[in-house]
Amino acid sequence: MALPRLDIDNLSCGRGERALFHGLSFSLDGGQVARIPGANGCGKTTLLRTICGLHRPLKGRIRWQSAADATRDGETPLLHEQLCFVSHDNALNGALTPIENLDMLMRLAARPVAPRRIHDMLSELGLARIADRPCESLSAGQRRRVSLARLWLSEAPLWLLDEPASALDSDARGVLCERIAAHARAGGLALLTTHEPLTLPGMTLRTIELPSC
Amino acid sequence: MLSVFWAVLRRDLRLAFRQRGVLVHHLLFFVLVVSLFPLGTGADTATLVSVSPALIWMAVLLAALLSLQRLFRPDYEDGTLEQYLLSPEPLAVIALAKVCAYWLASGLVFVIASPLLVLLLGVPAHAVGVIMVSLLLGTPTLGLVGAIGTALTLSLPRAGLLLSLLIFPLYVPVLIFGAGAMRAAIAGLPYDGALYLLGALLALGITAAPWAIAAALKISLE
Repeated sequence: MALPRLDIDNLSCGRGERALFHGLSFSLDGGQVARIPGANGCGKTTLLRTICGLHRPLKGRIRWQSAADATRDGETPLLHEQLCFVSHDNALNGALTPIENLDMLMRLAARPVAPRRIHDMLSELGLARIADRPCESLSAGQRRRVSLARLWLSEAPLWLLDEPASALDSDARGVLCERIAAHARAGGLALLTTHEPLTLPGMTLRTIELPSC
Repeated sequence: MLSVFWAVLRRDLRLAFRQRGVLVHHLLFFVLVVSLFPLGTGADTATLVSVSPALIWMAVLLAALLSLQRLFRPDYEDGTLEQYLLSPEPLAVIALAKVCAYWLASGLVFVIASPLLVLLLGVPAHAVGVIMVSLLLGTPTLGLVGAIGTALTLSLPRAGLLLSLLIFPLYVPVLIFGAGAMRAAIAGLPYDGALYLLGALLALGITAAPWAIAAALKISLE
C-alpha cells in the first residue's frame, strides 16, 4: 500500500438535507490520478468540497493516511496542510496582481514563498507579461492559469481540482496534464472533475463514477 | 499565526487604498448625514448641541452598516473565502485581521473627520477630545459586532435590511455609552465611566467576536 492514501467509505453527500449521491466508496493511493465525470449537478463539486471539509458528509467516512504516518498505525483527519483545492472560482481578487494574489494564497496555505519564486513560476508558464497587471484585466483563461500556478507552488500531496481545464487553450491544457502527471510520479494524489477526458502523458487516469441517487 | 495576520491586514489595506473611491463615498455619506441635519432643525445652537451626540453616533452607525456589507462579500464571490477556511491558520485570526483592516480604512477615518463635524454643530471645543476618544473606542466594537452579522448573512443575495435588523440591537450598548460620554463632556460632567465601559465593550469584542465571526463564516459556506 503506497502512502499517502485517501479512503472514501460509503460516503453520502448533499447540500443541506438533500442528498446528491449515496454509498460512494473508493480509495486513491499515492501516485494515482482519478477523474470524476458526470452531468452538471450530480454532486462532483460537492464531493470535492466535502473531502476538503467545507461540507459535512451526510453519511460515511473520509480517511486520510499521510506519508508521515507510515511508521505508525492509525488514521489522521485530512489536514489542511495536506491538500490544495482549486475550485471553479479562481480565488483571485480583481484589484490585486497575480503575484500579490498568489503570495496571499500561499501564505494562507502556510507555505509562504518568495515573490521572486512566484515571478519565476509565472514566467515559466508564459505569464510574465501579466504578472503585474490587476487580475480583473486578465482573460478567463489567463486567470485560470494564474490560479493553477498555485498548485505548482504548493507541496501538498493531495490536489483537488474542480474543472481544472475550463477556459484553458490546448497548450495550457497540455501543461496542466504534464504537471498533474509529474505530481503523481512524485507520489502525489489528484482528484479532478471534468466533462471532457484528459490524457496524462505516460499514465492511466482512473475514472470514478458517482453513484446516482 | 502572526504572519498570516499581517499578511491579511496588508492585503486588505492595499485593496482599500486601490479602491479608495469606496472609502471616500463612506466618508462623504457620514459628512453629508451630519451636515444636512441642521438644515432640518434650524440654526438654533442650543438644540444642535443637545442632539449632536445622537446625531454623530447615528451617522456613524449608518455609515458602518453601509461599509460593512463589503467586508467579506468580495472574498465570498471570488472564492478567496474558501481558501481562508481551508487555511491551516486559525480562521479567527484571519477574521480579526480583516476587521482591523476594515476599521483602519473606515472607522479611523470617521474618528479623524469627527472634530470638524462636531465643531460645525457648535459643540464646545473642550468636549472634542472626549468625542474623539469615545469614537476611537466605540467604532472598532461596531466593526467587530457588525462583522458577525455580515458573516452570517453572506450567503443571502440582498442582505442589507436583514443585516441592519440583526446588528442594530447589538449596537445599543455602544450607542448608549458613546453618546453618554459625549453628552457628559458637553455638559462638563464626569465622562470617564462611560469611556471605561466603551473600553470594556471593546475588550470583550476583540476577545470574543473573532471566534463568532469564524463560526458564522463556516455556517455561510456550508
